[in-house]
Amino acid sequence: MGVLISSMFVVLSLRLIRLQVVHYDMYLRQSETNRVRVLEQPPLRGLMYDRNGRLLVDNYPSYTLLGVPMMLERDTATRDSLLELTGLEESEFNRRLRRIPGNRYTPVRLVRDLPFPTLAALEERRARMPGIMFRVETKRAYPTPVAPHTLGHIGELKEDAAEKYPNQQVGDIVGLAGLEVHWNDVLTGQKGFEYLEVDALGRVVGPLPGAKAVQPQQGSDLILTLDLDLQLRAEELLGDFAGAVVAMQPATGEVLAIASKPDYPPETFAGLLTPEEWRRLQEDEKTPLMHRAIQGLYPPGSIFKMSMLASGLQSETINTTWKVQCNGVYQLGRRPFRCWNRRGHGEVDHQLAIEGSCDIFFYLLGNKLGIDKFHTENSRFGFGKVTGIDLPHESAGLLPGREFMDRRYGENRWTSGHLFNISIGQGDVLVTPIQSAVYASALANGGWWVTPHLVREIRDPEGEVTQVAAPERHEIGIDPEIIELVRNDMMLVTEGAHGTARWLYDPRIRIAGKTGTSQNPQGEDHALFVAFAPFEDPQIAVAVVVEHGEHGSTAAAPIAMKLIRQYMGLDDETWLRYRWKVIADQRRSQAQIEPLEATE
Amino acid sequence: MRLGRREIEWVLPLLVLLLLGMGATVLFSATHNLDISIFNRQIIYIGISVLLFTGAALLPDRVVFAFAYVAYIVSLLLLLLVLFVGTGPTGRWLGLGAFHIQPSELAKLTTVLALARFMSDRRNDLRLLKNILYLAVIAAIPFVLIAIEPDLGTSLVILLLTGAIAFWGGIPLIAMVLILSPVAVMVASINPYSLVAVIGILILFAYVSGIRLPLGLIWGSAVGLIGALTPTLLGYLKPYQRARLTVFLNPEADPLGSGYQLIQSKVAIGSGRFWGKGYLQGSQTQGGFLPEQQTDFIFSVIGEELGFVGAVVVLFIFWLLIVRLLMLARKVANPFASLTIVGVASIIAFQVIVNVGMTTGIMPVTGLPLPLFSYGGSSMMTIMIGLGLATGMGSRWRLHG
Repeated sequence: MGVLISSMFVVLSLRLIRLQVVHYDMYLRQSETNRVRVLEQPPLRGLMYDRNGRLLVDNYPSYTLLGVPMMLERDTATRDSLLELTGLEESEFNRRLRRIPGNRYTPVRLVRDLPFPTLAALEERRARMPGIMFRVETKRAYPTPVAPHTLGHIGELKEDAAEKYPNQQVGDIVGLAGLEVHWNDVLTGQKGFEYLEVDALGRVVGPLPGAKAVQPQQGSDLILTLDLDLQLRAEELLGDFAGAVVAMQPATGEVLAIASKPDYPPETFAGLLTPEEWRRLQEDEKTPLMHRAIQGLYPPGSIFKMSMLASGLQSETINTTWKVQCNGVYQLGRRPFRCWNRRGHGEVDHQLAIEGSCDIFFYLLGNKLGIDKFHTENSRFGFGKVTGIDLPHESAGLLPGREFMDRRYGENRWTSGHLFNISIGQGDVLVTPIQSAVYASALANGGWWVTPHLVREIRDPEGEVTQVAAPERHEIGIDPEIIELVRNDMMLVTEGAHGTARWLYDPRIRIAGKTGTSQNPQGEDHALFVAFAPFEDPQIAVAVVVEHGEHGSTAAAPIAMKLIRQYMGLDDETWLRYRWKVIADQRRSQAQIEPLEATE
Repeated sequence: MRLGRREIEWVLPLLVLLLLGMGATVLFSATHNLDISIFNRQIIYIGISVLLFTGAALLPDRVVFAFAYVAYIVSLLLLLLVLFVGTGPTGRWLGLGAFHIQPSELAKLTTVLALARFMSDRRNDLRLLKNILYLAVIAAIPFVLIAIEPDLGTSLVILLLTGAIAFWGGIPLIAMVLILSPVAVMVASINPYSLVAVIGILILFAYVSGIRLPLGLIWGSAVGLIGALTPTLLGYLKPYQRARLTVFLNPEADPLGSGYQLIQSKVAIGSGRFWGKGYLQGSQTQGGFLPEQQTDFIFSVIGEELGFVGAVVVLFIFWLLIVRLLMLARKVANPFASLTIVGVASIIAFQVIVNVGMTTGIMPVTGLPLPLFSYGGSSMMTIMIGLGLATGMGSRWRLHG
């Protein structure tokens, strides 16, 4: 019996050797993770200011509920009461617990931005709910509700998007839209880590002895190029219309205002967004989530004509003396192609072609250019390519070439008629408002443009400027004389006797512009307007698109004019008084007032 | 038989004091963060136990002999009582005013006494099957009563101490195997591997012991039938009944999920490495990660804080204690005393082996306390009375030379 017992004791000792001498490292590691909770300390995200230092995006403290997967997976009682208190779906709860691979003792985020009653209820029951923790995290706050598409929003990094954020982990708070995405790495800062010792019930005993906490590093602030006043005005002027406004400094590429309507309150994504709300926003026919200024695709209509004229001259397809006869319609075979002006412009040279926006001139010019030159020459202004603005998901637009036409209509199945159509900026040509603004900038500058951008400089948390925007300058490769000629023609749009926006003439400032109407097969036409001012020394270039606004001169141009006046410090009342005076003078002199016909 | 010279047994008390001291020290570490009152109560239990130890050591053997059956009957009554009015977390306690006792602990010792008395009575010819069956009945009553509490661990202790005493008392091995084999087969049939293993051992045993063929055939087919029928009978059980049976077989089925206790215990012991993390420095222990660390899993505390060295030292002292008991059992002239000492030794040996085996993960979790270390008055007092009796018997009945 003694032998039997002794041999059992030997077996036990051998077992102890195996556990404590041979394989101790495995158990040592487990015992470390057992009692150590690595609590990530999310960094404070950088803020955003407008060009004049006015706060646009702020941080606001909120409470986040965390759970230790190892504890909650086993504890159905706690899980049930958590689900009840937070209203979280069970499947979502389980998904969140399992989302982050690795240490099952690392707390994961369960609910962000806990409403206060829930927080209070949880805090009350906390002693009976081992494995839950709270952390103060920030959510975004917007002192002035403005530019939601551009500023963007933040949220938890989901698994399916993880590879787009190589520096961050699933579950981290990251930028999900707008500037928050594009400048995510700058805004984010560095995570901190706190090492806590806990007991088996998940109760924090205190900081882990011997382990130093890593302090989180606050993210850097962005000083934007936006001018809050101008931005607010742009949004106000668009009002209930759908559309977009882009205003920029042509010489620097700094975007002063970039508005898209319809929009949504910027706080929508700041805290908890219910799936219903999300679905409602996503399925809204008016597409409020779409950033029309960079994603909206519109046939440019007549604003395309400066590019066409410059293309014709640069490629020497025409010279400055080239003229066409406009009778209001051009017969191509059996098919009539009409000018917007049914009465006809008469003999049209390049000046009248821009000033009066004669379609016949450009039908014939396009036909003379041919599809290949049409594509190569017009692409100089950046059509069909993204501008490179510091926002995600910019659309490239579409500038048809031979390849496209062959693909779209079949080889040799497309005719001069198609060419006619795209030559006046209709049909397949598509541009974004930001492209239009760049186009206006290039004309304003006399043949070059600067990549539009929204961030002027980056400041570290101490307020030191660490980076200044250095946007690229692009030469469009068109002779300066040609650009000068086109610019002068543009001036006639507001100053000439036949100008399509002459009623917007302001004696205080010379504004060069061009109206456009983009034909919309689905409904009423879209109104477009591009402009820059002052003519001699352009300070601002503007592009306006008003969906279903019908005519550029009536819906889009006034918005551009008001923005330009505001930016140049000119009031609207003076212009209005001037305008009334002109009308009164005309009446008094019995002069025939030209009807404000539906002009393009 | 003649009276030997009076000689005081001092090795046993010394080892006991050593183990008590270590036990209290370790228990302090295990409880001071959780509930220091556990430790305070244990100190009181130790105090009472030392008194009981001394009292038991001073009892004349004939008094013990005389009261052996009475004590046995009383403990059986208590076991019956606990089935109806049992309290506590597992329903194994008997409330007696301010404190409560665990009759199953007491029954271990009284069964030893009853068995020892029966076997040491010369009127009982142990070669007769009738007497062997009586012996089996003495063991079976507490075994069944404890098993249906349910407390499989303690009932197994009864089974084992019966085997040890019977073996020591000269019962033919063949008789023991015949009696125990149906139980063994029933238990083993839960798992096909263990069933094959047990049947294999039985066949081997039958062959070695030269059992006669007719008897062997009858026995073999009976045992085989039981083994074959048990799973079928289990199949008739409703799910909840089967669940109860699982609880019966693994009464400490862990509340946090499969193997949580075991994992934490192994992590604690393994992470203690050779020298241990230091007294009061074990993160598993102090963080409360060890389930039941003050009772069944106190050995994990030793392993974590005192390391391999501490664990082996504790095992070694237990081994010394058991060896010393067996030495005494061999030396004392009184068969009753000898059998009692063997019974006590087998209780301690079995509990230490199963407990340490359980905490290190080589034996199933059965919920047996580590003698003299685990918190609990009944267990402590029972073991101490047993050791006291052994000390007294070893002191008085030693032979010359």
